[in-house]
Amino acid sequence: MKFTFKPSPNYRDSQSTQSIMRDLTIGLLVVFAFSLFYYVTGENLGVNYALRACGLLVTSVISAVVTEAIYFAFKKEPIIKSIKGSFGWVTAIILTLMCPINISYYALAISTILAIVFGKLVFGGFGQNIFNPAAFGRAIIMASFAGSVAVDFATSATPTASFAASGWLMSNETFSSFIAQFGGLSEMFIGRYPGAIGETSALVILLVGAFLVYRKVIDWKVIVAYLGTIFVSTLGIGLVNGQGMWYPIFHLLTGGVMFGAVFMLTDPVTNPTSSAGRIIFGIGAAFFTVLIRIKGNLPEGVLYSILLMNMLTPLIERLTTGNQIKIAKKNMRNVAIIFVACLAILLGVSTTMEAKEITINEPVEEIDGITGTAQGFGGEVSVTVATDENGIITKIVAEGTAETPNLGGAAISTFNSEGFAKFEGVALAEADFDTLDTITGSTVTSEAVIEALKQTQGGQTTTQEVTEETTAPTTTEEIDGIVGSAQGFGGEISVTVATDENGIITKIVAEGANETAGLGLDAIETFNNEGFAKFEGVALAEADFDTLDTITGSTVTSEAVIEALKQTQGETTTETTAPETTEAATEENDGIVGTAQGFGGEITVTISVDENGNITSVVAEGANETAGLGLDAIEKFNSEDFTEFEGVALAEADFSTIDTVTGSTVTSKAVVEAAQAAQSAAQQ
Amino acid sequence: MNKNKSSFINGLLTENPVFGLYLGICSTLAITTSLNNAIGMGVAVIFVLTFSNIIISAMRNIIPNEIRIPVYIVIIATLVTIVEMLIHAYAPSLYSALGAFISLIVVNCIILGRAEAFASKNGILASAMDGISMGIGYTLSLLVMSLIRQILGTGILSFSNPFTDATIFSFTIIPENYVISMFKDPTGAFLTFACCAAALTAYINHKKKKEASR
Amino acid sequence: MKKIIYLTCFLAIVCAIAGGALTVVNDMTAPVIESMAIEAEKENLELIYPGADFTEVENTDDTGLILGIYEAAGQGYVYKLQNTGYSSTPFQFLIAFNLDGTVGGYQMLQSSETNGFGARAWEDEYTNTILGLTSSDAFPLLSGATVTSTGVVEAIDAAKAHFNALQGIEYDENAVAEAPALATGNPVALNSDLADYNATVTDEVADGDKTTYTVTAYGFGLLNGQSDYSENVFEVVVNNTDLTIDSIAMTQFGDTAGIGDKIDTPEYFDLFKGATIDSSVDTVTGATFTSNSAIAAAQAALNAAGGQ
Repeated sequence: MKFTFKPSPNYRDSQSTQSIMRDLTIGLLVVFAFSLFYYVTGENLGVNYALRACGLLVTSVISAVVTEAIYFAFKKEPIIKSIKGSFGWVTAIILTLMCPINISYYALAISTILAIVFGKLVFGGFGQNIFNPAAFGRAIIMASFAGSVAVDFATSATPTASFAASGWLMSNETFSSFIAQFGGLSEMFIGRYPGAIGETSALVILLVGAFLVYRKVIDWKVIVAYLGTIFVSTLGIGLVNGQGMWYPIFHLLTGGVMFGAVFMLTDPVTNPTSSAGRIIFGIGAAFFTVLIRIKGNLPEGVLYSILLMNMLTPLIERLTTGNQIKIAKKNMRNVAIIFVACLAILLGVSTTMEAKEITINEPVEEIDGITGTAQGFGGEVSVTVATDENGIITKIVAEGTAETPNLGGAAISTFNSEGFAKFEGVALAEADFDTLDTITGSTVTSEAVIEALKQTQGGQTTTQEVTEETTAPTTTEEIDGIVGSAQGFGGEISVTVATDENGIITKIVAEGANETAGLGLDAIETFNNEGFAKFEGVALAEADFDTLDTITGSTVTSEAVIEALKQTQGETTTETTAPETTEAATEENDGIVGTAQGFGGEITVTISVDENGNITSVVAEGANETAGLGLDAIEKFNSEDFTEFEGVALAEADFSTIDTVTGSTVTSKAVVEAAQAAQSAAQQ
Repeated sequence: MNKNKSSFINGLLTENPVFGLYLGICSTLAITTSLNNAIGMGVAVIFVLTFSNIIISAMRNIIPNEIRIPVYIVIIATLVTIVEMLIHAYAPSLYSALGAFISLIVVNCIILGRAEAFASKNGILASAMDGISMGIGYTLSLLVMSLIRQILGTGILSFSNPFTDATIFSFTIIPENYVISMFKDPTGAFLTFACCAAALTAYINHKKKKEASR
Repeated sequence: MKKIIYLTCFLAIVCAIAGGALTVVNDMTAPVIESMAIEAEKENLELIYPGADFTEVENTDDTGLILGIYEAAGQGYVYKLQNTGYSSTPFQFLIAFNLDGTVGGYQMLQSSETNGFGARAWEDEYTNTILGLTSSDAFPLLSGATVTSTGVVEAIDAAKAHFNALQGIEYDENAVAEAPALATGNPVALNSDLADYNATVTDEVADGDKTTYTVTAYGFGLLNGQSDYSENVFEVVVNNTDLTIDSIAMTQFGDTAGIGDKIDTPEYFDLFKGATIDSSVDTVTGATFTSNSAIAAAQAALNAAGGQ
């Protein structure tokens, strides 16, 4: 195969490479200046951001120039002259403009160095490279440094990423509210919305582009072919899928399409030399951009399309090589065929597109309270916990504008509307935020929210705390108390429950030396450190050890621990002064009896009082109630709700405060009625 | 002895099977993500290469010329399958790390190439030495690639006992936030390979120049 | 000719020797490999048959859903199954059949199914249903977790196929389990006092022999004076000739989701067919009030039809 390689530009012109690159650099700096302006004046941004942008630019330029200096020194060529002729800073500026503001300095520096070395120098330096070095550098960042971001520069989700999350389809109404977040299509055109440093302002880029075309620095044919094909194909796709006119415009304005069109596809070193070739190049790039977007589910269609077309440039050259005047007709025919083929493929593929549900990050209410923050998936997540004067949680609001709308953002919305409800009415110091139901697919965000919530607890001291340390040691302590044991996975598990003189649990320690390391042993450690905490301060007789959070993968161990814990409850009769309520059979008590009609039969409530008229015990019985529903409700009343009335004067007891159990309303109401009947009987 | 020695060194450098002769690249690119993998694969290849060379050399006079390739393949395949079964039974974590590439040793061009080019024409001892040296050359290449890729890609240099999974050493050279994770991927593999091959070629050219100017 | 025979024989001998060597090594290593596989699984297998002696059985499954088959000596067979449900991450679980065909165990290993929906496939209600079945039964789906339970049942079917083939049990491969029956009880007479439910006929459309009544009625929430509930609306079709209910459907539900809406099934509303003012209809267990709401609506419709 004959292979001729012609470095470009290769025709004599009044311009020199120097002046072309100088104009290009000026154009890029104008775009950069606009983005500085946006950072300084934009909301939630500020001078910090502008300074960082400058810092990133300087880092990249220095990395590029130093790398080239080292290279030329190594090759023993005159350094200053070679660097001037190698235009490494152009690559650096373009690469910086393609990156988000929160990329780390290290990532940018390394990528610039690799881009210059492997994207340009190994091919022979300026004019000899196959791939656009800046695009190559950006691809390196995407492959290696996706997580390498500076934490304190929060970025919100970009419109491209959000739209991509919805499958590149959105109903017209959803779109209006979606785009309103960013100020509408007009703001997107001007460029005042979050995105890469230099890619956002279509307006500025087009103006600079027009200037550069006028100065004959770049070829307008590539730009028109690229933007035109994107417009036409996305218009078609939009029509096929019922999107409005905004659809093609949105595609054009997002994801660096404008930037790529003006500054990267037009690079004469990496695109074909002939006009027809350049048009085909533009069409092909548009094809790949749209295809990757709609089917690849990546927002970055532009980047990879540039690299792919760079790769195909030699092929396109072969197709369009020759005396351009003679083959003009053939060229036009080829261009037309390629255009139609690309359009047809895109339209065909677009019929398989499906819109995905996207939840727009709703603005959250402002409340006063204690704030906690943690690092979420895309940025910071913060929670505000409002409490009343007793330290009881009244409301929790979470916020995480940088989370992915469909996943982390949706999780936060769910927390705000439902997930936090379980903590309302709970004392902040005692709230166990680990029990927040995490949302599948948003683990990072969910855990960040839990982390942030725990932070708000940090400064609180509990009033009822016993003088035990709050963090349990990792070796199991020896404590005195009631011991229970059960058969675990590998051997015996024992728990020791220490109580105070009132029978209130002060500490629980579990031990099971024969459990499996990594599973059962870890589970026991977790119980000792955290899992038992919920039982501290609870009366041993009333503790419901079934609510101990079992650990996945150590079910046998967990259940043995629960078993052992329950054992300790069996022996509490001598310890507590309050009369016990047994869990199984209801005791026979002398006392005042009240009855009511339950769901399946009669319900009786027996209330015993002491000589002062204070309730000593309340026991309900209803053997005909439904197992699993009414019977369970009665058991709950006997073991929990009725204990609130012990010590209360019978005449003053208000049984209507007993919560009905969901699903056993009839039984619950009957129990209340029966208790009230007993109450009124006693007063007669 | 000198001849053996120089051919041994050849196998390591100028005739390095991976960077010099460009043989066996597929598995090189795929598995060189950690030292463990490199050494595991390297030892497997040394074993197969040496024994296949020995057996083929021993049988070189009785193998009929027309069916020599199928016979070589049967011998090599048997050896590879034995190695695979042994690894599966006694070093299971290595087995899951190398995966299909153990079986692919059969088609590693180095082995068939050496069998055809050397073992079928030379004595048993010479063939064994050739197998060992080629195998060591291959292993060293893998080690170089793995070293670079593991350090740049994960920041950690570590080695663990393949039979018991006990870590023998583990140094964090580059902190986690500064690793270039591209090197763990095929992209990094190609880049590293290109650099190593270029370096070897530069060295060979330099040596040639020196000898020419003498 | 002689040459070809010679070549063939030579190759055959080489292959035979090679095969011999492989067999030797295989015998040496295969048991080691097998016991390793079982060790890895043992913790999970012991959840079902604690302390049993496990050996791995050859996996002849071609559905791709069975990850491993283990025989617990003298007790039964455990199948490690994997399938996808609602979440994109596949779930894995164990099901065991005792030697007599009854289900010996059902245990989740990993699942990312949605809490409250697919995750219910491993909660007590469904687990208890499964534990009560045998290998020749059709396994039912779980209402409200259709996608996940379809995956579960599909995987169990693969296990059943293998087990039944192994044990020589005949069963109907294509049987589909009926949806779990709605638990009803406690009949309420259509002429009882349901005034509290405030059933009101808001619309009447006559069509020959039948008249369709749109009836609103209080449900659980409104009955208890809770303002954030709304009314239930029913469409009751009455046969004018014999004053029986032809059909009843619920068009608007204002009660507690997950509880009251249990009555909204064709199965329940079928109970109303042919009912007269003197009939009784059962209420749905756990959704008494909403059931009463429907009964009150039926009562109101019948009263309106009878001109009372």
